[in-house]
Amino acid sequence: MVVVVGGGATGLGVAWDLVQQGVPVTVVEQGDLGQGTSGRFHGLLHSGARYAVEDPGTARDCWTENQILRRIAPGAVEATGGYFVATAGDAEEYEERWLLGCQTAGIPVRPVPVAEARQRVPALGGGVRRVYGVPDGVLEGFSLLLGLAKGIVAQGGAVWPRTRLTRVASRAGSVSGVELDGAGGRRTLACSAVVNAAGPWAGEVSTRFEDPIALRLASGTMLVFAHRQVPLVINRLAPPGDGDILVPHRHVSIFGTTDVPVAHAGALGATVSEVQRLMELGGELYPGIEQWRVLRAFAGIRPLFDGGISAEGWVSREFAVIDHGRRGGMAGAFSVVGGKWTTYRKMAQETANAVMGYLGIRRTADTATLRVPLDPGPGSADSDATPLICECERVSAAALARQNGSLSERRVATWFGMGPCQGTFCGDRAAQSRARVVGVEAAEQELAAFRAERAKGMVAVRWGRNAQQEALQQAIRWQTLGEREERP
Amino acid sequence: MTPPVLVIGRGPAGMLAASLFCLAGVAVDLVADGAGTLPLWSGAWHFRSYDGARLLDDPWQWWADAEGHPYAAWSSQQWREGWQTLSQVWRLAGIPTHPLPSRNWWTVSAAGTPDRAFLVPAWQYAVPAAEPVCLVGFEGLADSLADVQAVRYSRRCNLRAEVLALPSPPGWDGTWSTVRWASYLESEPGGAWLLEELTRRLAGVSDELPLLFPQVMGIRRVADILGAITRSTGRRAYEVPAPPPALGGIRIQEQWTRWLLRNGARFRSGHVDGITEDGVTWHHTQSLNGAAVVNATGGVLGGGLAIRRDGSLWETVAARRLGGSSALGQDGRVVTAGRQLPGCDPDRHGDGGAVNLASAVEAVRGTLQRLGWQPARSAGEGGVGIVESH
Repeated sequence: MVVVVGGGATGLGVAWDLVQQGVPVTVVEQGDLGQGTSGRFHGLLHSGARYAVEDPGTARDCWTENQILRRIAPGAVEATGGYFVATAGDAEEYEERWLLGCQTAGIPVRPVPVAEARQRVPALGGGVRRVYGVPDGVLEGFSLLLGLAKGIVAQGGAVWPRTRLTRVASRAGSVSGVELDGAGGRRTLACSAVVNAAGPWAGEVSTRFEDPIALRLASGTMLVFAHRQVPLVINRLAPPGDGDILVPHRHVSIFGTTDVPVAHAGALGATVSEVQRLMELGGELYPGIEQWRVLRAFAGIRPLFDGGISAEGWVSREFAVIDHGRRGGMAGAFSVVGGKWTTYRKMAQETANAVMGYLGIRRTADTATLRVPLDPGPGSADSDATPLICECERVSAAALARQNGSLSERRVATWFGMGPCQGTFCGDRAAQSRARVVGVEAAEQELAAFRAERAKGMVAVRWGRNAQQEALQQAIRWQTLGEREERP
Repeated sequence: MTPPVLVIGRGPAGMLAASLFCLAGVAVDLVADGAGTLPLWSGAWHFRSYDGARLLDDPWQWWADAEGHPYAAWSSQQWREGWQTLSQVWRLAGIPTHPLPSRNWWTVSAAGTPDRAFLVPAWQYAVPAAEPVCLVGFEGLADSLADVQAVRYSRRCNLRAEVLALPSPPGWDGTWSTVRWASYLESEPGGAWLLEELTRRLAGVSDELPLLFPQVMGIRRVADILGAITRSTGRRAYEVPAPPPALGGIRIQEQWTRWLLRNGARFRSGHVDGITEDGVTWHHTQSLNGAAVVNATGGVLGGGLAIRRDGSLWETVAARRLGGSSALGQDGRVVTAGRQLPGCDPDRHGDGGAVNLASAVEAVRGTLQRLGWQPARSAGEGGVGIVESH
């Protein structure tokens, strides 16, 4: 048995890979699947072009994995393509290095006449000097995560959300089991290896291996705008920096990001100053951005491995698989840190290789050719004879009832509550029908958690039409829907 | 010819202010760029419903003791006249209400929790004291959750709440909206279906309990439908609010608009973007003459106040920055009315109705005074008054 800690892309990817080799796995996730960094990204499926100059290895990996993901998870990828846009202020010298970098990494780049680009993307301002097309895409992260989890369970593995790792037991210096605390109470589980794929929490988890690793955590803020403001991914053709990616994600657009060092993984939440900075940066490329309606802001934590501690156990420069046994910690304990969503499969594969090497198991299956079992996905037509719960995303009562878990988990699986009303009406409806299953009080708690999660994204973007919308939502919730704590 | 008074906004405050101008014999234009908030609201006015975390029984006493509220200085007499004025306006407009109470009515919210309210449309459940109830639900209506409402009601009130579940009618499908339900129930086959189902299933419900339906009991014929239920079952029948689109507000909007039109008010649609010496500008450049302007755009919610990206608060029509508490006062020709005035938090306090009422009455009175106009019909002690036409 291998226990994987972390229900994000990396952890589920590792478990998916191991379960294909016949290794029994259990994934434990402290919150809901994808609640950490994997659920808080811009949705960009990198072509690799963004890293062509600064990080050629990542650029190559991204392009390879981009092509693999289109094959193994076509339902989770929207092949929009992407533009790299250089403005009059961006250096021409960088453009040449970038073209060379893309060529070296094998990323196909096509020059696009500025007039054509402006016609396709009217949101672009007047200062555009040069445009190139690249095979960027949009990745439906949650669909892929849920597909991996479903696949793991279908192959006999286990996925336990809301379960924390409290202790790793060892015998003669080797991992022998774990102690867990979760929804089902405390329990112990015998295992021969533990994989720490806890993202920003990996530093904390590694302390249980008697070999702590140091991470540098950085928070990246993103803004969600209503509507698809652009038909494809737009990158700035300049050294990677803040506010240079705009991704059309279903019927919203995500603009990011920033990079602010933070002390701990719990520091989630977009700040007003980062949002203001994004708006100013956005204005350089999209003059109309002030008129776009902001829906919410969110922040994800990037966990970067601090390689200065020890270079031992490094498998690649872009992400690291750490074999704690070889560094003087517990044998059978592994950590995987760093990397990108786009390259999660490769990280998972190399982590699985290290674990299988330790267990003496030979690789028999290749995840690069295995289709991930995806659900039809959110928004797929549902002709149930049940009323609609969420009109914005057209989620029916039956579609919601088919999912498992709390309201927040159902939101992720069906996209209810993600539209323009941000769950104002449907949050309440969903909670009411949930009350039939779990009881009124538990449903009210779930609704409160759902509301808190939605509200968090509004705090830093409380201006203009969004402020108006928030006031309206509050009035509807408190006055009309009777969502109050008061007792007679 | 004297230009009309311009009332900007088509929510409860704007409609009330316009009605008061009409009754004072003053020509009024209602200018708005949207439908207003009425369709979001079930129709009950709150005087003061909450005291901190508790439901409040006696709003009169709360206001008598009030400090620090923009309308703390209003006397009981002013409030009484204000509420009477409003209920008379509604009576004239053909919007029936429960009588004005001496204590807050007990009502039931869309969630099934007990609530308190002051001026309540006659179709909505309102009683002097909480009592056991029977909540009726329609299977195919997403917002009709009688079973859950009943659990909440009985827990919070410690009173019995029974449930009567009705199936989906013939021809129903999952796309039926609230309005579709309402128009079915007020159709002839819908009415017959409802009475038949009720008769068939009522046997299991205790005798004396009032029947509380979700707010889908017809659009124009709600009184007929509820009356028919009472005649055929011998029980009191009411609605409780449901999520928007709120039929209560839609009914009120229809009746009130019709009455205002009959009384000479003009409805003009367009976005007001500035205040001038002679009125307002709208549609960017055109001007609209007005003897005075009442800004009833509902604060941040209605778009009358805007929060800019730097956090500053602006009055959108007058394009002026607010220091914090100036919106209540008069500035030249513009008077402000609405539920979200500075110093008010109607969602937390349950006094949005009182703020709407008091600010509309003051806006109209202040405007008439400034213009030196005497109300053509009658003015009582409280300012704008109405002589009932018996």
